[in-house]
Amino acid sequence: MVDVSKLINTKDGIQSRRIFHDQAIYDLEMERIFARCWLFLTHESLIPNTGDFITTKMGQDNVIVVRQQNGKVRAFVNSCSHRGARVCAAEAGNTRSFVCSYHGWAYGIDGSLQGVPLEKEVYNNQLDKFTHGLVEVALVDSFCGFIYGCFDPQAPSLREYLGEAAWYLEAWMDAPGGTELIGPPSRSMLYCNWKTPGENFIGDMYHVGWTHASSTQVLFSQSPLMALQGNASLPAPAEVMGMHFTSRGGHGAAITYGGRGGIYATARENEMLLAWLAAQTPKVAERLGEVRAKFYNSAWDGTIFPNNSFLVGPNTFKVWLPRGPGAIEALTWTWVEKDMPKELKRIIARNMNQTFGTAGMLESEDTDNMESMTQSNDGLVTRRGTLNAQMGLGREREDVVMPGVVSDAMINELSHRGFYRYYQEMLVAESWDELRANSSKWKKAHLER
Amino acid sequence: MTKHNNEREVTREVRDEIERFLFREARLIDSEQEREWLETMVDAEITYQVFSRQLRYRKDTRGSGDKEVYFFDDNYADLAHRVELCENGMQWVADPPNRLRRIVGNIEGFEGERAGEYRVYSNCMVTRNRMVYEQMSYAYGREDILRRGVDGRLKLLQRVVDFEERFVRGKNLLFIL
Repeated sequence: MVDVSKLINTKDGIQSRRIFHDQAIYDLEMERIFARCWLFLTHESLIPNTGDFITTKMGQDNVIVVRQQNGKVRAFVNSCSHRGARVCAAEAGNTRSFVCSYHGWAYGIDGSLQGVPLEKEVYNNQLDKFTHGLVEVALVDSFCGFIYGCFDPQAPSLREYLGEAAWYLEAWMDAPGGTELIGPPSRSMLYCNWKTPGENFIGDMYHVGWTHASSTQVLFSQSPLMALQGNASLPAPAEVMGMHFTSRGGHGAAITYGGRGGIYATARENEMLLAWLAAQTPKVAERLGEVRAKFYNSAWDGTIFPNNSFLVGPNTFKVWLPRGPGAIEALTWTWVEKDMPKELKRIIARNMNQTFGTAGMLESEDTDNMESMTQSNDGLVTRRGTLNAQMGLGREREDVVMPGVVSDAMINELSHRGFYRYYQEMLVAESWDELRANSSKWKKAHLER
Repeated sequence: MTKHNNEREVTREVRDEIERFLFREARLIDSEQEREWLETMVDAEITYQVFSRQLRYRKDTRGSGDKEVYFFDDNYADLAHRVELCENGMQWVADPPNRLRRIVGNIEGFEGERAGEYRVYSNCMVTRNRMVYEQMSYAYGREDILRRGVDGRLKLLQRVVDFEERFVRGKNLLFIL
């Protein structure tokens, strides 16, 4: 087995290519990351009523997420405790029970085994139904309405897991009136490792001008992002354009000041969003302060470790579900603010699907990169090498207002380095106690030169 | 697919015209003549929609939220953007070129709700070959409305595709369906 403590060099911004290829590393990722971290499940707005449910995956485990009688949300492994068949084939809906399609065992929405056909006759009343409920996901909690689950009862709370990133995320997730996802998600296969889209979304503003040279030119003529088109020059020093952050738990983002508007097809649509933002901004400033009011008006690309990415601007919200080292299922939603007028919500959803949906013009431009970044490492000699995420090294700092480690360079790979720092730490650490012990000194890897 | 009662089939002559329209459209799109398609075959008032339907139980009428997600919800200007993307020479994903090949079949034509409009059903099988190793296939049904313009020629006024493959194995649908 490979020495996982040597895969990542945070200080110098170097990663082993093997993390995109080796089955043994992937298996360890499932055990140490996906079975221990908080993973995105759904949004409160998609399951508002008792019995509302969705099905999804945590790592490669199929789960059902369902609203209980008491209003709480619980999640269960979607596999019958009898012979293992799934108990729910639908993606979403409302139900009073989950019935296995194999022999008809029926479970309540609380996961308990309620009905066993011919129980008296074939089990002679000796089946202990109490111990045959669905396996429950240990922890389920929500942050600003976004529901996450965690298989590990020893894990920190969701809020603690998000750490410094929570302060940033509130700038858009906790908009006045709240946010919601527009369901259902689109679902598509990509032949890449689950980390390649995560590292792209976590703050790669360098690729915007080049990968998306074509679509930025056609679609973003009214946007500050247009300045990046072609990667030929920068109109202002990168520190004027925005910032970068990383956090204890590897979550990070790039924030481009003033970039949230200007990406819609018509002037009228752009004006409608800008008017909305202008009306909300004073409320955001009052509740969250001037810095986050500026972030509220900015374009973001970010990733919540390990596999949950988002954009502010093109309001996409994504999960990258792993399917082995070389494939993922991408789930894509649109996020909007709950109080927005219906027409503005539709404009945002249309734009999101045109840019980052299954027929999205920018999405397809990203995909080839994510796939070839993965597939090149099928070559033995190729994967002996390392990868470079050194951009912005030496420009990291702490700030009195902004938590975590930040950089004033918006085009930067600080958040990549933070993502892989925590990635390696999760692979190495045997327990959450071990991870907690590192929490006082995590910044050193970024700040000490 | 929408269920329509009392549908009146078009005449054999119009049916031939519809078929010629769909075949020409297929040829233009598959041979990278998207602009010719847009400018000669697409009505300025077009609604072009492709959606995917979340899988729910037949009996379930109480579930919350929308059941459909629209991959395309385009008007003429949106389609024009997609065509521009193909033309500006910077679309790295189409360079080397992608090759599309489609079979259009099961064509049925009916008189539309307004004079000069026809409701047209067709099925498509599309294969997309791209880069050295990628081959992807897509099968779907289309429900179109064609409208006869003042010049007497048919144009595409509405296209709705209820895309059946819930989990798109062919990565993306960045082509004219």
